[in-house]
Amino acid sequence: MKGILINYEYCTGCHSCEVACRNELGLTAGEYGIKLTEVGPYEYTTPIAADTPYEWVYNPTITKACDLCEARTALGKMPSCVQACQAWCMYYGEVEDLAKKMDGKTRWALYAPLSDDARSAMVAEREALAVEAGAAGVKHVDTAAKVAGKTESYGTWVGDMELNITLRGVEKLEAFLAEFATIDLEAAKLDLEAQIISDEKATAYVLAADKAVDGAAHELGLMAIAMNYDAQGTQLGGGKAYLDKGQAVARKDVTIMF
Amino acid sequence: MADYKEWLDELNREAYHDGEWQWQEGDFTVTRTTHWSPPGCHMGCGVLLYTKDNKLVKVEGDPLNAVANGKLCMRCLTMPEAVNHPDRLKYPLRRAGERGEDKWERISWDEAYDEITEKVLKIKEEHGSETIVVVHGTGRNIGWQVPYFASACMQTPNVSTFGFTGFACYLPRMIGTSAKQGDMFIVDASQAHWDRYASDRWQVPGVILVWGNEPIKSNADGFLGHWLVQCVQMGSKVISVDPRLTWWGARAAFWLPVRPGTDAVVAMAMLNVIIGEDLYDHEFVEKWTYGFEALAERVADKTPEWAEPICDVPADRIRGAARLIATASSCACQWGLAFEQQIAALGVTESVADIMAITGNIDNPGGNALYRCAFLIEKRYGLGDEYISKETYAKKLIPQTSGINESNIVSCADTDAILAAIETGEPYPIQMFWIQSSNALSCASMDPARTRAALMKVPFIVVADPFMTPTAQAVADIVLPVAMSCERNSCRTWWTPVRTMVKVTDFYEAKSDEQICLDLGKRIMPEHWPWETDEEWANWYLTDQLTPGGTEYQRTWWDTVHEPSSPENGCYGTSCNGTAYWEWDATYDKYAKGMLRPDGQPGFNTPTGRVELWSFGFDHWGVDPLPYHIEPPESPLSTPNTFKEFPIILSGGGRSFEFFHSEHRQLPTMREFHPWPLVMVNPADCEKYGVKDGEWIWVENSRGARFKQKVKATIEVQPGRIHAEHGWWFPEQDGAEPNFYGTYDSNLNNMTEAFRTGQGGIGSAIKSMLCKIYPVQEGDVLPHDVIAEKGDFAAYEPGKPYQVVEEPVVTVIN
Ligand code: SF4
Ligand code: SF4
Repeated sequence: MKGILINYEYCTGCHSCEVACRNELGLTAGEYGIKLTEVGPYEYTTPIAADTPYEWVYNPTITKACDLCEARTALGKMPSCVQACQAWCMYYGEVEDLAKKMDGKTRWALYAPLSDDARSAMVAEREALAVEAGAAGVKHVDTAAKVAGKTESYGTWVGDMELNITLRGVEKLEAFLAEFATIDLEAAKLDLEAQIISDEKATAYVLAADKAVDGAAHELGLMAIAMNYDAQGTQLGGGKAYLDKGQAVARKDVTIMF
Repeated sequence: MADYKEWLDELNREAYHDGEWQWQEGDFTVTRTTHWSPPGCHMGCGVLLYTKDNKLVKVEGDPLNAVANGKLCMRCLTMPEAVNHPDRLKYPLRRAGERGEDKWERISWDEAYDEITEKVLKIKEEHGSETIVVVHGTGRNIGWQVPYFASACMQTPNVSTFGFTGFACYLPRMIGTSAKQGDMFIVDASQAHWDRYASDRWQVPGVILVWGNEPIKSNADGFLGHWLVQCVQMGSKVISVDPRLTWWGARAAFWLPVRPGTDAVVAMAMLNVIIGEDLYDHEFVEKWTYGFEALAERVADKTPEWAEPICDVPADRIRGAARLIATASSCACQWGLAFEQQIAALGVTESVADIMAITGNIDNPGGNALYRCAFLIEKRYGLGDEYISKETYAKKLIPQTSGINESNIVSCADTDAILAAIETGEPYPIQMFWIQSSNALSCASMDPARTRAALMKVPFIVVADPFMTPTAQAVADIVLPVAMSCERNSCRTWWTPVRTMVKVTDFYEAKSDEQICLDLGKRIMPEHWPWETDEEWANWYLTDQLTPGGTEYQRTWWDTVHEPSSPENGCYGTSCNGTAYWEWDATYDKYAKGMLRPDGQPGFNTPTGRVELWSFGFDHWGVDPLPYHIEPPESPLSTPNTFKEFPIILSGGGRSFEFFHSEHRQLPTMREFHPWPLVMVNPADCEKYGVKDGEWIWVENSRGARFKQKVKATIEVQPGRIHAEHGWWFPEQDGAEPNFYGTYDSNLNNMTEAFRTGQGGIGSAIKSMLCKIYPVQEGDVLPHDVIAEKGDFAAYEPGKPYQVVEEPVVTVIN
């Protein structure tokens, strides 16, 4: 079994493991595959047998998102966090070998995250339970889809304005089209683009009746839509503050989540 | 990783494409290069850039690059956020309203260059080229490019990191050690060896003396702080001299929480112990130093008991630390910015340099190596000086009373002299500022409101930066978009090894610092800019500088980028593409080997050929040639009345992992981890002054200047002392006047001031000021409103310091 050993005596709290891991797993703000904990600083008033009276120690905790960097390690690379660790206090390997490094002279923590088998079993069980729950009419949200979800990005020009669109959860759109539409994904993207340009507050993608198999209009709700303006070019960057001054938009980044 | 050899053995070099500089991984092109800047940094670690369709997607550390071995900080790891940020400047802009109105129009590069060229030629003709001031920021890898540009294009001797009174950044330590030891000493964490910690020449420091900095956060001056963490894992003990409890202090054999601004007192007491207890290195002192008796006499009465009430460090800790330094197998001194950010800057530099010298910790393995920049390439400020006429050079702005400036050891101009020239028009009015990658208003400038008011008097100002900054917003007439690290062909040669940077993406019309200098240089003074491309310019710099001595490097920029280096191509050992090590720097005891002096004799490159404990250089400059201390201009001892009303000592400028000075504030990840400016207050003081953790408070001084930050209640600071952050602005806020992205509101520099320096015009008391604290209330007047209304917190006369609130009891201890 593989694991990660941390000689947390020397962890400096530099956050590199957290950020390197996010880069690897594609996690977003507030989510971690590995997350620092900090104890201290405080000074002991009770005598303790130690080198200094100060406690100030960091230790990263490995979360359930960690897959021990399967893809990287298969190529012979180090896990992303271990590679980036600035204090050089992280080790990756077989837990038996790692355990031998723990010499009692400094403080160590050995992490054995979920194994591949355990992870697959969990996903399978969760899916099975979800189906049953679904049968009973309970709506479920498959959060795992977020990580697995398909993302597409493309850019275009609307007059002088650059428009960049990112679609998250494209598989939902695809499934919707397969069920109701006569048009393909590319045509639907153009549709969507037109709808977003005409109404930034749209809450659903509307499939017009003439594009539907059954001749009736259908809607696919948007989970979220995020806009980022950029007024530079006519004026300069900085987004909304400039728009409020009545300057034209030079670029718009739109993220649509299904 | 205590065992570097084992780590190397286990490293799968093939997985990281050993020997290649670029390859394909799935959809990505991967490029092996080094990062320096922008966004800024002092280091230059090896990186692997993952790009796709002209876009930077991911950055990883390069395990094959021995500078950082794949270790990478969060600023590099989130580089795509910076590079692809929607707020980045994409096109040259010309001001379309009044300065500060935030009205701009897009112009072409040709229009920008035409306008600048026309103005520069006219200014040179009508007012003289010295009326142009060239400013550059730190950490942007423009330390040789911009000075060359100033000399060979603008023809001005007035190059400056504007706003920073008393050269209060590293320079004093550099000139101090150069004067006393002939070269600069740098803590030796094996960084000059291609095989690093496994080198059989190197040995792990017996004790690391971390003094006045937190190297793991600041990585200052080309030194990666985490190297020392590796040394600690290999057995180094730690001594921390710092008002703050840091990672080092919490693990130190001795932590000396010195009162800010009194470091020289601690150092003199250490010298007293080392000499008094006969712990010094007799052989080194006798053979290689000059002036030991004078030094011994100077410190004879400076006992730890004498020091304790001045510096607030228990005498026993000073004594213990001194003994450990003197008796350890070696002592490596990682000194920091606190040295020059006190009024006794040169005094403390002298004392600590002397501690290292008399304990034999000069140019020894695991001690303090004497470095010159790799292959003698780096020429920095002096580069191209010969293109400025003697008459013009003589007009360099330096203060009249400074011996250091007169002897011209500092090649940059003095910031206070520049400020005075703008404010008074004497000795001549300033006509133009060229500001490349410096956000002076948010960061370097003492008293930003005064700086801004002065700059408003300068008729023409160009700012080049990757983002619109408060400085650009407030004073620029033209703003030029600067390319980032992955968009730049460049090199760095500061200390060692040589490192190259290679361009892999473009961003709209942004151009690299090199390209901008080159384009304008070719327009304004083509005779000094014979290079067609940035690559050619880099080649010249690396291998063929016109300046005396040239360089000892034979490889072109292109070769360095594409090929690993090895003894076959003139380098020390083998190292990956983009780096080259230099044997000279890796050699110890160079003084004994006749490697330091131009005459080839053994000894140091000083007038006496020895380490000068009594320094001729200092004496010549009119600075005390032996260790001394001066009390801060405001302190419990020098202004006891002010201290009653302002009972807290304010320090600041400590760094965090998220930011490089005023940069990175617009990146989502950084603001997620570090959303607001934090002022550290001891829990006992929170209680005493009625402020709470997480609450906004005002920090105010005797001049009535104030700024606000959020409280972090922590024992990192001692009772009676607080520590505030610098460099804050809020890119998400309104950029127009008077707010300027909120840069005045949380600005520690509202409290600092120009025109007050230490001996020789060196040093500034900005880490030891007096203040009071109280909670921010709803409806309080904000600093930017005060400044908009009154100009500044207090009145001042042009070219003069503020009137002192209480005449200080001047305490000079020598
Ligand atoms: S091993 Fe990979 S997935 Fe696990 S914490 Fe480290 S970087 Fe994240
Ligand atoms: S990268 Fe290493 S030193 Fe930094 S926080 Fe993570 S474990 Fe600690």
